Amino acid sequence: MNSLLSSFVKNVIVVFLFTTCLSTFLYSQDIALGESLYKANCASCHYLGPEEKKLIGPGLNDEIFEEHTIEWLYKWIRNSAELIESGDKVANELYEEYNKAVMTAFPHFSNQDIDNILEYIRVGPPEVTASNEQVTTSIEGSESNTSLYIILSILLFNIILLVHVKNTLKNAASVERTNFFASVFYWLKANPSVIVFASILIVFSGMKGCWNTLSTIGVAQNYQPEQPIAFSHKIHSGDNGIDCNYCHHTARSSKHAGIPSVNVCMNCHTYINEGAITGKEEINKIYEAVGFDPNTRTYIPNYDQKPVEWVRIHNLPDLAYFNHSQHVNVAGLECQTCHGPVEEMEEVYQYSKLTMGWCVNCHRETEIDTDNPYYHDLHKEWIDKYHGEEVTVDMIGGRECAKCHY
Amino acid sequence: MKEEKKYYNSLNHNVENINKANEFDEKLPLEAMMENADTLSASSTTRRDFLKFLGFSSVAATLASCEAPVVKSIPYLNKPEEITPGNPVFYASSYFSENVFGSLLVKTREGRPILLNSSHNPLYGGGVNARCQASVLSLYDSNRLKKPLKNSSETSWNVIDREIVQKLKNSTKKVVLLTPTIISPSTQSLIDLFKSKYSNFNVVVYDTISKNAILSANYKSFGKRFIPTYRFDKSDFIVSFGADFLSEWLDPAHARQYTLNRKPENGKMSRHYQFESLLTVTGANADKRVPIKLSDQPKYILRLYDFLLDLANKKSIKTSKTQHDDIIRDVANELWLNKGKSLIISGSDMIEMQVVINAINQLLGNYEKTISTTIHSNVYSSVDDDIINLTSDMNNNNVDVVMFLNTNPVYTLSDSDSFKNALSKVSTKISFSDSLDETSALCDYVCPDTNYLESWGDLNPYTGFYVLQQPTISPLFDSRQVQDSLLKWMGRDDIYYDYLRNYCKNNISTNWNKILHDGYHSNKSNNNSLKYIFKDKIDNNILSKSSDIELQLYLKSSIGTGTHANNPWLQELPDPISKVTWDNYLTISPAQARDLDLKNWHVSNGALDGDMVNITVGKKTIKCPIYIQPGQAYGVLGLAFGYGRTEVGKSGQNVGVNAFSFYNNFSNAQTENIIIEKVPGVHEFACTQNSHTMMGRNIVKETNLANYLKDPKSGNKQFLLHSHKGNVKPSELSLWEEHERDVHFWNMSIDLNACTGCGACVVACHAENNVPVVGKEEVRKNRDMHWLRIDRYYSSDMTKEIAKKEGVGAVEMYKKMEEPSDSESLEVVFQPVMCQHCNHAPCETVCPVAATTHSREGLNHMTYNRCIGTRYCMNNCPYKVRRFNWFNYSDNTQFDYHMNDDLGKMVLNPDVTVRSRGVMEKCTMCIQNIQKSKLDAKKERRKIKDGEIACACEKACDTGAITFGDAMDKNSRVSVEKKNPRSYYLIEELNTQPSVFYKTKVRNKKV
Repeated sequence: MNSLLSSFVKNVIVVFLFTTCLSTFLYSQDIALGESLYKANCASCHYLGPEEKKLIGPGLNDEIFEEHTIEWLYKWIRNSAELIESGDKVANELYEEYNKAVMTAFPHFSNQDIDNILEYIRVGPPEVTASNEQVTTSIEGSESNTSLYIILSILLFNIILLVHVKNTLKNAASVERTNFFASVFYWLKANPSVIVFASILIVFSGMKGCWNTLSTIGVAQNYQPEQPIAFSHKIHSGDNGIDCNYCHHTARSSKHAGIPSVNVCMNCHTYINEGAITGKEEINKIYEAVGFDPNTRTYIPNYDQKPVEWVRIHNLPDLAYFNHSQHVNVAGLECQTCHGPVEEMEEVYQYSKLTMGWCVNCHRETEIDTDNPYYHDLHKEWIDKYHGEEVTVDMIGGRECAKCHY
Repeated sequence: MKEEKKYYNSLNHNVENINKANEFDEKLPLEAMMENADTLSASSTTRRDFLKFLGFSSVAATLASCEAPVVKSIPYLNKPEEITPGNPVFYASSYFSENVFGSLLVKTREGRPILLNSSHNPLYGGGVNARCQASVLSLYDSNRLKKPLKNSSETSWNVIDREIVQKLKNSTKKVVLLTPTIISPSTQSLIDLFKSKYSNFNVVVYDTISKNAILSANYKSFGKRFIPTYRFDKSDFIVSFGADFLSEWLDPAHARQYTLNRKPENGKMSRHYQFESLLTVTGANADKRVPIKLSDQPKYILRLYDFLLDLANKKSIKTSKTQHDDIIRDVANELWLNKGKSLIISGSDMIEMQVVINAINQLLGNYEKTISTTIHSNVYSSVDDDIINLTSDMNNNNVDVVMFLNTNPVYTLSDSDSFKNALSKVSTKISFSDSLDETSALCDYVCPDTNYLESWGDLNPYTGFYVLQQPTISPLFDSRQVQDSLLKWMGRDDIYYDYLRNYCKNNISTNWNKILHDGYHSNKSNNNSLKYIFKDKIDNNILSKSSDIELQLYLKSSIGTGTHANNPWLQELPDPISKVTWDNYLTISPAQARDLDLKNWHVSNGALDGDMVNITVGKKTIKCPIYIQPGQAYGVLGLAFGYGRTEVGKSGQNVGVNAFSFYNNFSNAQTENIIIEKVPGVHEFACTQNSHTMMGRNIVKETNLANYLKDPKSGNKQFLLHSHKGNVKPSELSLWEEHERDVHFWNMSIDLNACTGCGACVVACHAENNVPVVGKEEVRKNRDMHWLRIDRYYSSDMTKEIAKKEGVGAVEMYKKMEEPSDSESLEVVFQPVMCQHCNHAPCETVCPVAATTHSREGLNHMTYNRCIGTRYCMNNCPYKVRRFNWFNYSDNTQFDYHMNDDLGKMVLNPDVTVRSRGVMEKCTMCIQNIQKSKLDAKKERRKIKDGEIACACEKACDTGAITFGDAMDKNSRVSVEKKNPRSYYLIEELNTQPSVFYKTKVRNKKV
């Protein structure tokens, strides 16, 4: 039964993977690029949708191409302030309409980059997103466990019922009921090897039980501490689609993913003073930390700033070295691989076990990117050596102690 | 007759006091425990209660440990753009302390400077010594003042400013600033401004170690007080009379220059003769070292001058014969052959001597070739009489206000009592010291200066060479830069940073950002070369008085003049020659020690003890221990400056004795009225190397240039094993399978010809790898934690060949081999030894828990979290490079050095684990840097560049003795070095197949 269910789950995943592959295949390359650029740079201020759907700036969809020329959009995106200063009429109107909030300048964007983003805005997001599908499968997984328990309890109930019926029948037939325990005792006396076997079984299962218990010590899976600000990843990352890297931007370049500094929050919350769930209460905590008056939209001079003391969820011991950029940048892992569906979490919890076994298992299975020029010379030798096997992290020494412990 | 078993020992360090009946002569501390036996029995706690408590507390502890601590993660409020948490940021800056200049690249992490690297300025290259390396720890010294002081109690800057300005305005007599040489041009101009504001303001320059003799001699010879710059790289023949130029003479950049011309691969090397009294680092590196008495130095120099005059067909000055006339004759001949390519220097503090040295260099035509009179070194300038005049001025009540900047005359003046007396007559005493020292403790106001890593500044160490100093951290305490204080007291509102930028814009360059980025700005010197004007006759009656016992005062490369005495890294850095830590002592030649019945000996745990003596110079007497130093001249004693600080902080307080009290007339050579007498008492040394010689083994291989040129493999004979296959290399007879090599193969090459033994690498290793300081008691128990040590070996007169020839028996031979050669023929070699990362590692096979394993990149990994502390690996390591954590040094009040306070912890490298008690540790070849560079290469999708990865020791080594790289890369420097005929493996006969290899030492002795 269980295997049936799991094969069903597998099928769902395969079909899903197939469709996503197909869909990425059908879209041209620039939309994928545009999507990543959009999520990293634009999504924090703009929804994809009609203009009325405002976040900080207007919602964006294909209407913008009717209102503005491509040339104007280039200028506006690269440096809107300059455009406003140059006295452009449309630009000034927009500026006034949005309470004189200046859009961040992106002078490093090439025309190609902007074209990609605009293409993405024109097409809009794909219908089904990856995270939704994954969540459904995981829910099915947990359902399968529950149903298993239900089936087991039905079976148990049936056995008890049958025994009861048998005894009633024996009573009715006036057949003498043997003492169950006495018969077991005599049987055991006749077969002492069973006792030996049973005690060995008990000892070993006891040991295994101890082992299992001990190995959970220090494992903080599902650790979900209360944070000083009830920050919802679901709203920011899930509903608003802000890219993880927007706030945790050092994940690509440093060992730490980085807790965003308050000035990153203020990029948006200068203008967004009220949240959907908690209203002003939680957002005001940011203002208290940094000394910002939401009514006048100014920073209070000489304010005694108080940093926000977040509670760290993912704690590795000092003796283990972990580098985010290695995994995000070089290996190209998704944040969700280790952190789980953060975009679904109101309050973040530790999704993975973060044990050494968990690390090592992944290193055993994960292939390295042999296209990286760092590996080029070595690659040829490996092909000869491993005869076309997949080269995993393990094979280049990814399981050696001092790769992480130094 | 059966020879009685002799303990492993060294020269005259006889094993005594060994209780043969009882192996352990230190008793177990049972008595201390049983002392309270009465109280114990009187207690109402029964055995059962005890067990109950035990049970309860262990359950409680278990339960408590189940609760994981809550860790806070506090981000910036407003993140500085340049800081990425987790990635280092580098700043170009510079160092100037104790008259030593260093050009730096400061590594900071999250705004904390954690490591100093030499930025290799293009003028003279590196020049970062051990003290400069360690100065980053002085920034986090908990002894630094947190606030300004008024009469020893904390006050505010407002009070200080108000009162001092009042005092300055009201003063009618002199206002004096006592400072060492200032090489900051903007500070100099600021002082000039201050002078124009307060007309009674005077600056008195006082350098702790005087170089007045060279300055004055140059005034006589060239008409200008200056110190020239020397070019050891252009000199083919170098003669030094007592100048320790590879370590402590004028400029640490000399070592780099020196080794540039000491590469046998070039087919030629400079030849270096050293005439000296003590055994210095420079003498140890010389091709020929001649130990002579201090009072003989002038005779020898004059004799040499005489011989040269003879060669030049000039009139002789009629000098008397010396003991080494043949050597001096050789030196004169070679100097004459190398005219214009030679260099002769002296460490003497006699002006007349330096004048003769100048005359010899002039005679040899060395000026503008190996000595530059156009580019001056500005680091010394003081006139000895100035401080004496100041003392008498203060005594005569001519001084109202005295300010001390970076000087500590109460500690460093030989006549400090009379200075203290004079000081008490000054009404206002101000110190700018950043922590309380002997002088500032006597001051009314202490206005703590910021550390140089917190300050702006500019320096002009050489003519035409301008460098900037920039802050790498905000001031940790409520301290203020001196220049800001002066500006404030002048009544100006601007800050020094603006002043400096203006100064730089107006006088140096308008491109501030470029200088700040590069760290320097270089102009061609506008000076014309100076004309030699000395016409007086040099006569032979300038001989110094000689006596039976003479005293030379010297500087140790670790402690220097004692400014950084509170730096535990430096206290624990072994002296390059004696290998003694945490101490100074009177060095004495073995022969003289015998005559005076003075001894050093080892106690049963191997530690060194020594006799105590009273040494008297003139009227002053100091009780200090003696250390028997092979190679030292008979009749000369040596004592190091920088110790005996009484007001300095927890690490340096009362360590050793103060040699400055003998620094009479600012002369490092004291030749009169010296008495030494043995007194009762035993001194306990903490010495990291107790064996003196190599006992006939090929640990350091050595050859002579002439032999090397004939056969590049000379001195580097391949060791062969007798086997069933005939004579084979050890690597051909192996029990083990070879490791796979397909990724990288990290190798390190160490050129013994370039290593001067200075010890900067040891300090750099401490800084990079969070190596703990363990203190004197632990070092004495051979528990020092240095991951990298520098072994020093003396030559011995006995060799296996001589024994064979003369028919000496094995026992007698080994006994003789223990003895270093006598002073005349003694040679010294240095060898840095760290983990050799053996590819057939003896440590790996004995670890019961596989905590030390081999990587496929050729490294020997040590996994702390797996180690259970059996120490089998340490025992099985033939190189003795593994270190065991006997205690939890990082959180243990017994070891109250830097790792135990929050401030000192800021120097720790966040990428390296702080090891705990009970685990083994050792050199990792800075695997954190290897991993980082690999990651950078992968991120940037490129291959690793050769030289991109540098170990901390390699970066610290100014002479380029250490080369690290990937031996799989055929073109890497280390692959090239590996094929060098000079390369060899340490103790190759064990077939450990190390990843570290050494290159034979080559001396250029006269054949």
